[in-house]
Amino acid sequence: MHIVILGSGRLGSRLANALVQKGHKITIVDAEETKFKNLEEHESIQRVGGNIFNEETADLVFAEPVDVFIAVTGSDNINLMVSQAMQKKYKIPKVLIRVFDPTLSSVYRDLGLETVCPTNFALQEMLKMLEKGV
Amino acid sequence: MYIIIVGGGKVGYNLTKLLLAEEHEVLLIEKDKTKTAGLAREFGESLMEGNGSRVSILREAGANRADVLVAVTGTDEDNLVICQVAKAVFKCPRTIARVNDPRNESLFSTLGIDATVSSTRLIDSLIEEQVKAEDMVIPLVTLRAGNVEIIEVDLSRSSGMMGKKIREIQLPEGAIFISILRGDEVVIPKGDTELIPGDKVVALVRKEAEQALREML
Repeated sequence: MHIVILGSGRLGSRLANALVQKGHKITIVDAEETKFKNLEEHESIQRVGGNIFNEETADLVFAEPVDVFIAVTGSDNINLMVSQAMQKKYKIPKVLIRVFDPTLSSVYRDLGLETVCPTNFALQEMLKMLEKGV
Repeated sequence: MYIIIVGGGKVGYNLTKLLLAEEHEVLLIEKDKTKTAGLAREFGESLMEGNGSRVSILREAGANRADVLVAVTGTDEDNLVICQVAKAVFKCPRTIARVNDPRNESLFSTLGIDATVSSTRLIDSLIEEQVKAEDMVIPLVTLRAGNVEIIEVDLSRSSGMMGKKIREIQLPEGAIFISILRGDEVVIPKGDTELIPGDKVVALVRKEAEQALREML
């Protein structure tokens, strides 16, 4: 699959490194090219520096059909806007969005978007660990 | 009407002032503490400090009973999310977003925002109207989302209307003369008012009739 990741921070670069091991082709986009430092050197990871709303950047990213788009920048609102924009424009079959704010995450889930909230995951995980230990 | 405005920059500040003067119930939400002190002095209880893209803040602001929510921060993604949350969670009947980057305008409307305001586009259309003014048709006011205009026209000497009485002039459908400026005088046109050289005509006209009217003058 061709997977596009927006945001090459801790989660974005780890996702890229992990998904390429599973045989996927990755295009990773970040406005700050210094963020690419944690990516593995791999022929199946394409790095694109720039703003995805710029036409030249978007042309590079969507040169080949995209199966999955994952938005994991540090800003909830950027992730939500870019994902909806790309989904509308390029009819991407699957879009995953990281949303830090748990309430916002569930609002957009109700609207039909696939959001992932790290706080909710940490909550569930900690509850599980406590159940085992207490 | 109860109107919530998110973003206390220049646009939000002036909008709040205007709507309060029109005696609407207004709440301005601003997150930046360096801005809220000054705004609170002027707007008192009509100001709330907080991040308007948080559901809890909008709830506290009473978004569930707001007639209109206007998001005018300097950041497009914030304006979009604020309006979408207002619609989805609080069933706000009308949401208006400022679009800082004109490229986002069509995106916002496909994503359910009721209206967008882009200062870049407004400036463009103002310049365009100024250019049009060179052929002596000056739009004075644009009404109802741009569909109806009040225009001022310098009647040209060669115009077929010169020397004619108002009742003899067949105006295009959707256009009417509302006054004639003759020197320092304002003439309210009646059927037997005659148009003379030097007259300026003020007309109310629908956009689609503007071209036809212009050709007649």
